[in-house]
Order: sequence, then C-alpha cells, then structure tokens
Amino acid sequence: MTCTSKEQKPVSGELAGIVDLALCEPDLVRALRKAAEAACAVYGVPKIYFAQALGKRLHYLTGYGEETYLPAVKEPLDGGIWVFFEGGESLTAEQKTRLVTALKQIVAAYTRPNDSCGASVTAINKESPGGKL
Amino acid sequence: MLTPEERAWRDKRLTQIAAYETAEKRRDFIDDEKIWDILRRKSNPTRQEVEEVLSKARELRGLTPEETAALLNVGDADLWEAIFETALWIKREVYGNRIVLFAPLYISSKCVNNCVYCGFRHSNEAVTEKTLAMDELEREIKILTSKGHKRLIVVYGEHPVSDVDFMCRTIEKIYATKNGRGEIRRVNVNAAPLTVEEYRRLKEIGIGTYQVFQETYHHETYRKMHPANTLKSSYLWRLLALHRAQEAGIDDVAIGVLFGLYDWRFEVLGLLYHAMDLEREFGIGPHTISFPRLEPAVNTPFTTQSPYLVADEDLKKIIAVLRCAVPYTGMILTCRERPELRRELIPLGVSQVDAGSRIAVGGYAEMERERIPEREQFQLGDTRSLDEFIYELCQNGYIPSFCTAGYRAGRTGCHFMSFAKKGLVKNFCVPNAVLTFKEYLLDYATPVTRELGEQTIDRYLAELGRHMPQRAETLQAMLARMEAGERDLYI
Repeated sequence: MTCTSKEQKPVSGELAGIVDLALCEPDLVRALRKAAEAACAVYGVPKIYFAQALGKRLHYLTGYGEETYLPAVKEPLDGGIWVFFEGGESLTAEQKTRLVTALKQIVAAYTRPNDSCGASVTAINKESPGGKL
Repeated sequence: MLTPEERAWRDKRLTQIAAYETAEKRRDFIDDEKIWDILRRKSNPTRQEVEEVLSKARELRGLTPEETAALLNVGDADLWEAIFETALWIKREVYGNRIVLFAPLYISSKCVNNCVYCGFRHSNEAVTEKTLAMDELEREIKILTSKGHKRLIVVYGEHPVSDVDFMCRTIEKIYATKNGRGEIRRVNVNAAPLTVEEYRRLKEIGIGTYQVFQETYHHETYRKMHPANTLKSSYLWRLLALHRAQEAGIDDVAIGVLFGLYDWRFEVLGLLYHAMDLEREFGIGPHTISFPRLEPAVNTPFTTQSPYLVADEDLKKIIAVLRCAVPYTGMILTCRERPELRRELIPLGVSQVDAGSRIAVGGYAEMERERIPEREQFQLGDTRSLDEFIYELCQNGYIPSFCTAGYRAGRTGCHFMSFAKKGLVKNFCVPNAVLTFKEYLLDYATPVTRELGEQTIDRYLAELGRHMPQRAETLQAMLARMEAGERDLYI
C-alpha cells in the first residue's frame, strides 16, 4: 500500500513498507503505533513503544506488543521522542539503526512546519487508553 | 487580613473560577443523597454477601459502590479480618511486597484561603508564613538527597507568591540540584486546582503525579469548611481539578480525603465515585489515593473538636476497603500517623509511605527539631529517621523502594494502568525496588540497616531464581554493576 499524502523516504525493503503504512495515518501517534505494530511483526520484537521527554519524565505516547518485563533499550528519535525496544535481542545492530532511521523519518514527516497532515510534537494526539499495548 | 495585592489576586482567580463554573459541561458526579441511600440499603450485609464481594475483590476488577458499602457496614470482627486479609492479598498481587518511600517538601505556607481545619489558613496568626527562597530550597534538597531520598511530594499554599510560575521554577530547581550521587528523580505535586493552561505548563517540566484532595465530598460540609469568597469555596472547581489536569495531558493524578471532616463511610464512597468518573472519561483512574486524618494544628480548635474524628480501628477499615474497591491504585500512608499504628496499617493495602519527614517550611534544615508547630500545617505522628524506618520495613519482610523507573521509562498514564489493572505492575515494581534499595544500601544506609537490607535482597533473589531464573540472572547482573559503581539502573 502506498500513501500519496506524504513524500516517500529513502528507506528500502520492509522498512519502506513500514514507513508507507505509518504515513497513511492522520497523526503522529497513530503513525508511530502503526509503525510499532509493523516492526514487531517484521522483526519479531515483542514490544515497541514511544514516549515524549518532558524534563525527567518520559511520557507514554503509544506502542504495540506484549510485555516482557525485561529491561528495554531506548533510542532517541527527534522532537524529544524516544523509542523503547523490549526484548529487542532479535534485532541486529544494523537492523536497529535502520529502524530508528525509519522512525525518525516518520516523526519528521509529522512535525515539519506547515505540514497540514502532521501533528506538532507539543500537540500530540495521544492514543486512547483502550488501545492494545 | 489579606493585603490589597493578595485580595486582588484572589478576586481575579475567583472571577476565573466563576466563569469556569458557567462554561463547564461536566456534571457534579457526587450525589449526596444517592450515597446515603446506598449506605442505608447496605447497612446490614449478610455473611454470604460479604464473602461474595471479597471473592470478586480478589479478581482485581474493583467493586461497585453498593459492594463497597456492604464492606463498609460489616459489623462482625471475623469478617473484618477476612477483609484485611483480602486487602493484603490484593496489594501483594498488584504491587508485590515493595513499599515506595518518599518525602514531603513544603515549599510555601502562604495561603489566601481560610479553611476551618487548616493551620495555614490566612487568619491563623499563630503560624508564621514562609516561602522558601531558591537557596533555601537547594539546601533542603541537599539535605533530603543526603539521606537517600529520590522522590518528593512538593506542597504549595494557594497564594500569588506560589503561583504556577513559581511552581515551575522551583520544580526545575529541584530536578537540577545535584548532591554527589544524590538527586531527586521524581517530583509529585500537591497544590491547588489550576486551569487547563496552567496544568499544561506544569506538564511540560515533567512532574510525576498531580495531587488534589477534595478534603470532603459532602457538599454541605465542604461549604462549611471553606468560607464563601475564598478560592477553595467552589466545590465543582475542586472536584473537577484532576479532570482538567487530564485534559491538559497530566495523566498521573491523585485523589484524597481529609478524614475527620465528615462521616468516613460517606467519604470512602466519594473517593470511589471520583475514581470511577476519572476512569469513565479518561480510562485512567487515580494513580494514588491518600487518606490523611485530621491532626491537631496550632490555634486550630476544629482539628480536635470535629464530631467526625476517625478512630484508629476505622482508619484500618478505610484502607482495607479502598484497597478492595480500587485495587490498581497506589495507596499512600503518611507520617501523620504514629509509628505503632503505621506498623498495623501498612499490611492493609498501603503501597507508598513517607519517612524521615519534616513538614515545616524549611524544616529539613532544622532536622533535629522534630516539631516546629509555629511553621507546620498540622502535627506529625512519626518523626523517625528514614534509616530507622527502612530497618523496620526490612524486619517486617518488605522491600523498601525509591523507584522512579515507571515515569522515566514511558510507563505513565494508560500504559501504567494497563499493568496495574491486570496485577502485573509488580513485575517492574519489585525488581526496581531491589535496584533502588541496593543503591540506598551502598550510599546511605547505616551498617546495621545495610546488613539487614542485603539479607532482604538475597532472600528475594533466591525466591525469584526459583520461579523466574532468567529475570533473576538479569537482576543479579544489574546489582553487580551497581556494586562496581554504576547507579540509577532500572527495568
């Protein structure tokens, strides 16, 4: 599936598919959730979630997957947003780097100034509590 | 008497509150008559009914107001024992055997309100008002962090000197203050209700939980306790304070009652309705519930004369029933209570306590003075040191915790609730309790507490190793890194 409302990004293979899927969503939070869902399926990561840095607080935004209760690895994206990989041992270092790059592109697509499709980071439409984690 | 500046500030906010009350679409969800009707209808529950309610409570699904009222009206001592046992079971099922530790920090006692029960009411000339200057605040933080504290609840009066700008500045100062390895990692806030815009500003600086106590849910009592034309006189403004906080994106909110103002059974149902309404609208109930009792305060006769003062035995019932009714919530017991009573209350469902506390503004700088009545809102019952209290927790089989991991690992709001409601949050809480307790033992504990604390950790690791060897191995590796000098490790 290709979304025409956002410009295509320089990632290839399964990552391009993930980015495409995410960019069809109406706001950043839903886009990140869609990306997490797709990335969990593609790479076999149990759980991926996102949070926004507010001082010391990392404020939950959205995510997907099953909880492992093991330490998560976190990586910064842009705009104060962090991604957490739980049980991410199945990801090689290269895969993780490429996935983070793809996620950064998704964040950028929704936080560019004057982008009518995107949401600003400070006005993120947070996931409804009933969503699957 | 308020100064002209204080009066002008208060009047401006009163106008804001009046406009809000007119525009607010949410309804007052506390129906006094309905609550009394439920309490009357459930005034004499049968043994079978109570046992069925307790059986449902053990499913961690929470209780309805009717079921809660049935428990509140139990008369049989044996059944109360069953309720206490259920409460302890629920607490362990949700949070494990860890007890989170924090300290209160009173930053400003100036207040434009005149609440009948409060030592900080503006007309109380026996209390010396004080607001911490930034250097005094830093000194207080350095004393607290030198004892090992990592979590604070900061308290402000409702006054122009402690408006939202001041709150933001002081919280940023707290987070920025380092003391060797010591630092405050989570600041919770107890302050007056704010506007949505003001909450948004607080959210941006990264607070932990925002706490507003209704004090009493009974409308007529609320009116009597909070004189007209004071900021606290609007019941609705206060009742919906945490709805506005949620609207602003602050999704960890905390409720409470000042027990002793009105009938305790009524107030428990008020708390339950408050939790239910937050869940209904936001899907996120209260992160914590507090149940402070009215305590004596200087030149405040109401605190000892109220007809609704709560007996120790009734406080036990309040805690246990709340734990059954709202199983996912954190429950906070403070140093208002005496040490011997705290010992009895903690096993009834408490998950968070303060220790080594001082509640005078600037009180930690005068640590040796256990009580400074002329600068306190009320009198503390437990003035033991943090280390003494931790030693006792270990003796009683608890794991002391300074954990702040959840809010720094994206487990906030609905994410936190998704674990807590399923009784799974202990899978984070207990390992993180062990890690932060280890940090305390390495850096702050007295030799006797360290010895007992290490035994406590060893026992837990052995137990974890029997059931979850992979997790035990992970935790042991992290503890070894801490022994080697790393700090602030968490899951």
